[in-house]
Amino acid sequence: MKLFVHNFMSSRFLKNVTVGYPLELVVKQFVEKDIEFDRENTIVMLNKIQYEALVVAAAAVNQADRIPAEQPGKWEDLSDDQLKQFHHILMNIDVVDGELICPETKTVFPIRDGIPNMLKVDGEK
Amino acid sequence: MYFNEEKVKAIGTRFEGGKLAKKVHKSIEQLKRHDPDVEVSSEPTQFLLVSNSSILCSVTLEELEEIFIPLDEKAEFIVYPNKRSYSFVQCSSIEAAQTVRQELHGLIPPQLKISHQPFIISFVCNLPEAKKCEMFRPADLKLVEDYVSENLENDLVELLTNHSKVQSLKHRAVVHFGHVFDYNTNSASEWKEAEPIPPVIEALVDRLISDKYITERPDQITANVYEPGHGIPSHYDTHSAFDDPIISISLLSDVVMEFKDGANSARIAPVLLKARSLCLIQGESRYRWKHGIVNRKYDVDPRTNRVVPRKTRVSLTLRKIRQKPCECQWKEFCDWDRKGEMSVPSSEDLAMKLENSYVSNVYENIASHFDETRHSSWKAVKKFIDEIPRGSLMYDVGCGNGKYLIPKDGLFKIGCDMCLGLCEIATKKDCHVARCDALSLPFRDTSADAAISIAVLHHIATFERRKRMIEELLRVVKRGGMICVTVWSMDQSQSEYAKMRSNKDEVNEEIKNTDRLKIHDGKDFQQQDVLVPWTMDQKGETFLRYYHVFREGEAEQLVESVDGCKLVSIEKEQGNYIIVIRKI
Repeated sequence: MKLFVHNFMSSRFLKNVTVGYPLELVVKQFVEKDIEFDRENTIVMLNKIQYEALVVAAAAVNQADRIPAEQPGKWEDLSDDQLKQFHHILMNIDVVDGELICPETKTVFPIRDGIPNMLKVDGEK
Repeated sequence: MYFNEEKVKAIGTRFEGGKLAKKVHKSIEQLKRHDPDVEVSSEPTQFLLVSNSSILCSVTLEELEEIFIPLDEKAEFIVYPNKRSYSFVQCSSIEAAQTVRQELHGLIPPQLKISHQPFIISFVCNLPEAKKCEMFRPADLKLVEDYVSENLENDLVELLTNHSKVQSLKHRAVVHFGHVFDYNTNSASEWKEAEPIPPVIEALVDRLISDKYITERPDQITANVYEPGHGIPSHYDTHSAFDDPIISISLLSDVVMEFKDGANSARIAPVLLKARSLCLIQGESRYRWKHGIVNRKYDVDPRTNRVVPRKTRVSLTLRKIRQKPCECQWKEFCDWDRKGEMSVPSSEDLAMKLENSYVSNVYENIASHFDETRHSSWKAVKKFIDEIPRGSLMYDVGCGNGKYLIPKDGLFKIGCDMCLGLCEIATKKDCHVARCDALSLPFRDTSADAAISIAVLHHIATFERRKRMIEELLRVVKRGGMICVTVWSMDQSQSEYAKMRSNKDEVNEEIKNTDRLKIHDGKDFQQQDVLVPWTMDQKGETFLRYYHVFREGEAEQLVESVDGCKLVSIEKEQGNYIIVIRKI
C-alpha cells in the first residue's frame, strides 16, 4: 500500500463512526521504490490530499523530517527538490506489512502483502 | 485475388490425377495423426477409410447410408460425431469394398446436401481399436451388465408388452405398477394407486435387495416400450418425488443414454445401456445430471464409435416414493428451496449469506482463471474513463484483476475488491488496491472525482442492498462527480455471451416460480435471480455465481430511488447496461 492511498482511506463505513480519519498507521515492514518524479503530477496529487494525514503517514515510516509539520503555502511555489520529498513519501514508500486503525473505535485492519484488508467482519473480530 | 477453386466444384464432380493424389496424401496424414494404430493397405481389404464423410463435414448418417447401402447393403459405419473429419466403412467383403471404392473415390456424391467435399477412400488393414480408457461418466453412476438373464428378459417382455394397461405417450408406450407417475406435476404430490406390482418384478426387487444395490423396496415402477426412433427428453427425476437411487433395467436392445451436467448442458456423457443390464442412477448422477434418450433410429456406441441400429427396447424404471423432503448435497439442483436457503433472499441476513456462498467464495476459487479470461474493456466504460479530466482521482469498486486500473492514462486510480485472490493479482500488476465490501467503502467522504463499478451491482442480492451500494458510491465522490456502473441485462440477445452459449439447450419452460434461485441453463435468462455456472474447463469443477440480472427499466428505477444523484445515461452494450450517474 502506497502512502498516498492511506490519505484517501477512512473507517467512516463502520457503525457509529462519524469521521474515521485519518486512520492510524502502524508499519511493520515497507519497501522503497524509485518512482519517476513528475512535477505536475505531484502538484495535482498534493492538491487532493489532506496534509494532517500525510504527516501521520510520514511519521509511521519514521520519515516525518522529510516534510514540514505545517502545510506549505502554494504547492506551485515549491522547488523540484522540495516537491521530490513529498513525492517520495506519497509514491515511493510501499507498506508491505502493518495495520490501519480506526481513530474512533480502534478497530484494527491488517495490511498483508501490501493489501489492506478493510472487510468489516474481519476487522471487527 | 484469392480464389478457392474447390469451393465452386459442383456435386457429382470427380477429382482425378495429381489433385486426387494430393488429397489422398492429406487424408492419410490425418489418419496417422488421429488413429496411428490403423494401417493403410496397398492391397484391397474390406475396411475403408473415407475422408470428408463425418458430421463435422456436415455429412449426416442418413446420407452415408443413402450413398453406401445401395453399393453394399451390409456395410457398417464407424463415425466420430465431433472429433474426426473421416469415417470408416466396414464392407461385407473385399469385392464389395473394391466396388464401393471404385464408385465413390474422389467423387462428391450427388446425395450430399450441404457438404461439397469429395469422398477420399483408402483401403486400411484394420479398424481403430476400441478406446482403452474408461469412458467419461457422471460420478456415482453404476452399470451392471447381464443382470437380467435371457429367460427373465423373455418373461418381463411378455408381461409388459402384452399388458392391458399400456398407454401410448408421444414418443413411447408406458405402463405403471404400484403407483401412477403423474407427468403433469412430475412429483409425489398426488399418487394414485396403480396395477399391483407383478410377482416377477417383486422377485427382481428381492434380488436387488439381497445384492445390496438397494435397501428399500421400490413402490413406483414404470415400464416403457421404445420403438426405434423413440426417446425421452433430458430430465431430472424430481428430487422430492423419489429416493435415491433410480433403477433402470434395459431389455431387448442396447441404447445410448445421454447424461447432461445440470450446470453445463454442453457437458454431455453418452452412456451405453446394454440389453439386460442394470443401471443405478444415484448420487451426483441422479441429483446433478439430467438424463435422456435422443429420438433416433441408431446409436453411436461410445466405446467403438460403431453405428448400431436400435431395436424395440423395453425399459423398467424402479423408484421409491420419497416420504420426507430431499436433503441431498446438490441443493442448487433441488426442486424445493431448502427452507429458504435456495430462495431469492428476502432479508439482509439471507442476502449476505447468499452473496458470501455464491459470490465471494466463488471468486476466491476462480480468481486466477478469471484473471486469464478478463482483458478486454467495455467500449462505453472506456469512453467514460477517457472523458474524466486528466489528473482526477478515480475509484474502481470491484476492480477484479485490475484491467481498468492498469492503463497509464493520466488518472490517479485506487481499486478495491472483496476477493483477496483478485486483490493479490491486481497488486502484482502494480495497481493500488484495498480489500473491502462494496457496501462499506474504506474511503473518506467526497474524496474522489469519479468512480466506476463494473459488473458488481448484479451480485448484490436485494433491492435495499443494491440501493445502498449506489449510495456508498455517491458518498465517496465529490459533488458533480461521475459514476459508471455496469450490470448484466436479462436480455442477452446479440451478446457475445449468448453466442458463447449457443451450444446450450433451448429452454422453453414457462417462467413460474421466481422465488427460487435457479441455475441458469440455456441461452436466455428465465428469471432475474439466477446461479450462473463458471466452469474452469470442460472436465473441471463448476462453480455457481449468484446474479441478479436487470430487466428493462430497472436501473432507472434504482437510480431514481436514491437521493442526491441524477441519471446521465443508460446504454446497452453486449447484454450489459452501462449506467452513468452524476452526484448533485
